[in-house]
Amino acid sequence: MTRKKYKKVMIFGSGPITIGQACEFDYSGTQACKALKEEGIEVILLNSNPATIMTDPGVADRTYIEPIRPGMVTQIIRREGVDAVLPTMGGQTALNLMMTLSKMKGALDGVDVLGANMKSIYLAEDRRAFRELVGSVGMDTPRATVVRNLEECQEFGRTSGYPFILRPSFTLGGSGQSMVMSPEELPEKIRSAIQASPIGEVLVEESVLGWKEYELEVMRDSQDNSIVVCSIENIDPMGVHTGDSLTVAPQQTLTDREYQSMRYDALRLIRKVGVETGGCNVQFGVEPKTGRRVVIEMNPRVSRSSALASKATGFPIAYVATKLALGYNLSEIDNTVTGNTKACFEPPIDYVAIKIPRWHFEKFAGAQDKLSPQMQSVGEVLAMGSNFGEAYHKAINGLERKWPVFKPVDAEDTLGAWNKESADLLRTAHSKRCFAVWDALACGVSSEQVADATGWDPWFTGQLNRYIKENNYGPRETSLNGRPVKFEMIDTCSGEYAARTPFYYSTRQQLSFDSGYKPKGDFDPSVLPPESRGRAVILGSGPNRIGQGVEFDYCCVHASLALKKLGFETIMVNCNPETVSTDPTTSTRLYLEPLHEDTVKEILKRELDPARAAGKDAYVVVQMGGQTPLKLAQQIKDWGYEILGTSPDDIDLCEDRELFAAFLEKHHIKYPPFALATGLQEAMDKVQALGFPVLVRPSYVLGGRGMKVCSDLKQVQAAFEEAKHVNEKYPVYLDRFLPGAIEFDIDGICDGKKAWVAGVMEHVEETGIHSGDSSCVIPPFRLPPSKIDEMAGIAKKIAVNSGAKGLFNIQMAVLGEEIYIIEANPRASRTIPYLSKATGYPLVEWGLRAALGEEVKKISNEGLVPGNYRLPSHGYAVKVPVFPFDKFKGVDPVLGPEMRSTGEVMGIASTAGVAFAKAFLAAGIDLPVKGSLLLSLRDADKPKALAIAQAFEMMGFELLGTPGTADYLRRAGLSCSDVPKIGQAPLGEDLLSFLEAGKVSLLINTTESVVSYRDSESIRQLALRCRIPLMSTISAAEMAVMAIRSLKKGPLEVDCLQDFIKGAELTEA
Amino acid sequence: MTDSLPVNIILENGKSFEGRGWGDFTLAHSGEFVFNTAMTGIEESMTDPSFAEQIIVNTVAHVGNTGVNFEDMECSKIWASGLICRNLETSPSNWRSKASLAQWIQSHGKFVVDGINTRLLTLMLRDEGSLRGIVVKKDSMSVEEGLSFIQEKVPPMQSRELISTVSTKELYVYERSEPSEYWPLAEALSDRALCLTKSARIGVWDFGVKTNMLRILDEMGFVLTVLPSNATAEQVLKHSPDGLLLSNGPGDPEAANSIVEQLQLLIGKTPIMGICMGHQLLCRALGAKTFKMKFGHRGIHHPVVELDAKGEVLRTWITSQNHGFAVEESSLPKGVRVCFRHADDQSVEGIESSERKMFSVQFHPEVGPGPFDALELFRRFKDLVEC
Repeated sequence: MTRKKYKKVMIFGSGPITIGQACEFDYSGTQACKALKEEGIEVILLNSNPATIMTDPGVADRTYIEPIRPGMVTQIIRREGVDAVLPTMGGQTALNLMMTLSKMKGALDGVDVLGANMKSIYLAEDRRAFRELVGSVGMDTPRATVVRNLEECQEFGRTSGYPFILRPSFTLGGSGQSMVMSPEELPEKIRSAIQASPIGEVLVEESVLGWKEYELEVMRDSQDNSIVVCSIENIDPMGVHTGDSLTVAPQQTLTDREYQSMRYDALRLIRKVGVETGGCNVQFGVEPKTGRRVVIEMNPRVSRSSALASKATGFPIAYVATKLALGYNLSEIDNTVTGNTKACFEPPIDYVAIKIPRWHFEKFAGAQDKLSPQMQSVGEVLAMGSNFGEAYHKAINGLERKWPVFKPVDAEDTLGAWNKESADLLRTAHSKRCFAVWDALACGVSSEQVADATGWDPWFTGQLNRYIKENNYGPRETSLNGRPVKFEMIDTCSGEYAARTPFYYSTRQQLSFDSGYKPKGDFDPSVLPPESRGRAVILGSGPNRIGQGVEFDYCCVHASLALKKLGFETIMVNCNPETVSTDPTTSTRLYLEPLHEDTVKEILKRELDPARAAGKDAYVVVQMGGQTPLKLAQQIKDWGYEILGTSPDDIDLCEDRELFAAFLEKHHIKYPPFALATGLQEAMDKVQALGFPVLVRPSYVLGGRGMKVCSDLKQVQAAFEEAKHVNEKYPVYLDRFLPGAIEFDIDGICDGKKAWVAGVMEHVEETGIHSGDSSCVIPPFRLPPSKIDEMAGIAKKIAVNSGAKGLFNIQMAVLGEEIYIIEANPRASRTIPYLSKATGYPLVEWGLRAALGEEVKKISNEGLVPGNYRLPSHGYAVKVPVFPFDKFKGVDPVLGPEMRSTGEVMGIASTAGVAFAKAFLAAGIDLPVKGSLLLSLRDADKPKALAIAQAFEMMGFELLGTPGTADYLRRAGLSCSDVPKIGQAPLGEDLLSFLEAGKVSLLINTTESVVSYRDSESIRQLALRCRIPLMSTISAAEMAVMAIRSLKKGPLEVDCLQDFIKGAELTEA
Repeated sequence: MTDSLPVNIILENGKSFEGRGWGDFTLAHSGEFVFNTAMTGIEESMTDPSFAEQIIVNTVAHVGNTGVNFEDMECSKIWASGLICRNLETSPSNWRSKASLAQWIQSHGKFVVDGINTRLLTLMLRDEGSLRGIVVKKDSMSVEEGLSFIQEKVPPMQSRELISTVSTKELYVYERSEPSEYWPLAEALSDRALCLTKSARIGVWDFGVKTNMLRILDEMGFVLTVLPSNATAEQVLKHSPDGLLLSNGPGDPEAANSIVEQLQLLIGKTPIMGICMGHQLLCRALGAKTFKMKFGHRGIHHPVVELDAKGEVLRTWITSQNHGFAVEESSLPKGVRVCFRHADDQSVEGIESSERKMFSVQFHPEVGPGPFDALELFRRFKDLVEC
């Protein structure tokens, strides 16, 4: 068959990590780049997210870290001479972009769209058209109608009854979805649903609450070959967003006839919708008592579940979908796992794969820990087992959550207590239910009772019960009981064919015939290839969570690639199915395993003992995956394995505040005064001595979990107890807080003798805002070079003297002339990918080489532009975080010391202003170039706001202010009109009405601290809901001024990353 | 239902291991151990006559989750000798379920063993080929005794004639007895407009026919006469005025020479569609040879490519398969075209001879279990019958 040849294909990425759209699209995009490059096609990539692997300068040929907006695409298409675009790899973001482009006249002239046709995208995305189509082929759907206002929705309630679901059209991850239980709830819920839809349209749907839910991952090629790669069954019944459901693959509770009928419908549907090539996913609901089946929805693109299905089966969906988009047929594409069969088949699997999501409700004060049709999880774990129970047990261990203590378990008569009190813990879906189910069963509640309460299929609870009983497990069982471990293959074919690159899972199920045979050509871990230098086991970062996300996967993947290059066999251990690290081709071998000490030990034994016996290198890499592997460092050392890089004792030096303080004092380096306290009274006493404000935080956590700035004793008490709860083993830190200081992140590498600073990153927001939530600029733009040199000098001194080997990260604060050390981390930091993109330095590789003993001086001279931490001198790279506030009802979108951002974007340009403008736009903040600015400020910020207000006035903005702020501005000579606070004026004239009516183009709103949040809560929440750009700090407002000033000069122009890091001339804005 | 008891499995290669068995183990159970990668459809497979004298090693992690419902059976009895699995579910969960798998299997005098590392067993069967073996009550037989039992009492599948044991003894006209059952193929057939335009009478030569073949042809509007395996060409032709379906069946096609001889007399006289054993016998009747495969194809995920007259791939079908013998391509006579080929091992999966109005396939378009992709073949049969 003849295929059209393409020279340059452009891939749309999915942008920053958000809830509902996480690093699974980094995985798919990276696969797509690989699949295209293999064909000799030049790959042009657009993605605003610098933390990804796909945006690495070596992955695509021309990388644009730019806002994912139509204007940017058309510029890139023109500039690069793009032949075709591939919009199916970047989630809903890319698909929405594609829909916009298709409506723009001339935007896509002469450009082919690969992997999708617009007709099918519209069909699948337009709920009404989709329902009609499903009906036209004789398939069932839940009764539903499309509404645009309250009255229409009330009518549906009258005729179809309650409860029902509201689904806003054209949104991501179930954004704005809700369940309406009664007519009383309707007005508020329909209003937010209509607002959530960009076109103000909402689908109202019959409730299929409690039904069984299934997803099929389907692929189709241009020959009309269609396969179902994987069937996924949701353990949680309908009513919980599928992204928030526990799921199992393959499906477990349908007979062949039922399953095949569903499969047949799925294939008919994609043909009917007209998905010509590529992957898509179809969701079904099944009534558990009658088997009535309804089509729920389909995604005509690579989806979140595609990554899950790829890892659960070994079938690389995104890679194959890309080849299909180019015109290949499934039968022409190799099955990369077996190496000798083709991709046109349906992988039979002989294990059970369970996904459990990871939530972060505790980070969002005011959010209710309750699962709903709106996705709220931030990450997930995939675990394989030889049976359902084992997979479940491994998955909950992989969550890295402390097993909650449920009240009934502590009661004396545990079974009685559970029987009496467990109903609530089991009946509603919440983030801890997976633990509660285990504990209830372990305490003797019958599996039927648990099934009844949870709505889970009795088969699931029965299996879990059997597993718990057969292994004599009790409640809160995290140990794997020391049963011997086996490693089984994930090979796409249940062993029918020999596999060339399988990956592995561990099982402890004791079976007969376990060692009855030695298979031919079986992988023998005791044999190392003669040419290999040794083995390195890289421990991954586990499920995504706030504070530990794709950045660390980036580091792990690069560690694997770098060590392979250096002659090692690399062994990856990770359980996050969304990632590139769990792509079996990333490392020599992959163990798709939770980072559980029992299993990690077995993997090290299996992989590293033979390397040592052969007299070769045998290392464990713990410095790339964030806190997850770091927590195991000491144990690994105790087991006798060598850690590559900084030793566990030196890691402790930096983690242990007292040791570290002594160390800093010895080297005459300043740090904010602090104290450690284990008891509350001790904390109160020590705080008095330190003076307010004070920062209270637990030790050994990432992402500022449980961290609070306190200005009085009462707040200290609350914060102390919270911190203690987060990490009871270690004391709580009390730091003197430095208000108004500017913070810096410094990353570099150290070979043990000499250190080199790769970059100094200036935080835009002042201290008090978590570094991960702060915008960041390379190079620093507010301090003189001499100060930066001084910081770099201190960083090097700390690195060398603290025993750092490999990557290090130091956070500093500058207040006046003084430099304070906030913390030091002898490991990869969250800023590594951002800094690598901004400088072009392969920092992970360099760090590993330094750890292996190469001199930093030699390494750092290899950069495209000779090493200098003030680079890039030719331009600016700005990082802006992205927050999930819109997913949590009742949460105040304000920044603080606890990290809450899920992702980040980057803007690069020759001037800071343009870089800011790009980053804001990429983060979804459309800055206005004219209109009105509303200011509502705390007293402390008012003097600093004058210059900002004046700048806006000069740029032609109309100034509005809440009474106090307006008065202050007027007294300073600016013209500013009063807008009464909410409730202080008649309806239609207060702030609320102003915001709702769209009379405000930009809002600057700052608050005192936790206490005064309450008053202003609704202003910010309302701005969020009304999609009005909001600046909640003075520094952010200053950025906005710079950005708007640049925007007023003309439209943004794109810059290619590969040019940027070479130091080439950039387009002038 | 009786409780499980410890059993020993002894294989002809001398391997022996223990398991947990359900069934009556007073006497030894025996058969050819074959692995099956289907993740669903155990009720169908156990009742498929093609599994006669075979012990199914199921690779999927859990078996029996949905129990049995007696609607999905491919024959009124269990033909497979037994089932080996890793995790057997004895408390099924499905709205159609009527009994547990273990209960049902025992009630038919068969057995099931669980707690076995089926992955490793599968790898052994892959490496060494399908193996004969026995399942006995624990310690009731030494390995040596077991091996001599296998040598004396368990004939190899090669040269084994089994068709006569599974075929109907008497000719009958098929009538659907269970029209109210859940049978989604009906929708698939009507969706594909597979119904006959005018009535037609065909014969189904029963070498171990699966009920789904009869259900489908009946649903399409054919009047079916099912013929015993020992029918003469004359008898067959008499009942097959518009066409003839050669069914699936167990054993070695080489051992069915009497059928092949009769079949030779029928070629060209009436349109013929052959499935599985029917395909092998048709090829033998055309003069081709068959051979025993190392471990065969058993599962419902097998890719098969359809070829055009030039041998170019038209498309790939995901098929249901259950066979241990195959047609030797080089022995096919001129005028017979290979129209289907296994995508992974390139073995012959289907042939056609348009001038003789016949075609046959190695896989199972009637499914039960398996995906509905190949239903299309019944249209080709319909076209042959109607033209």
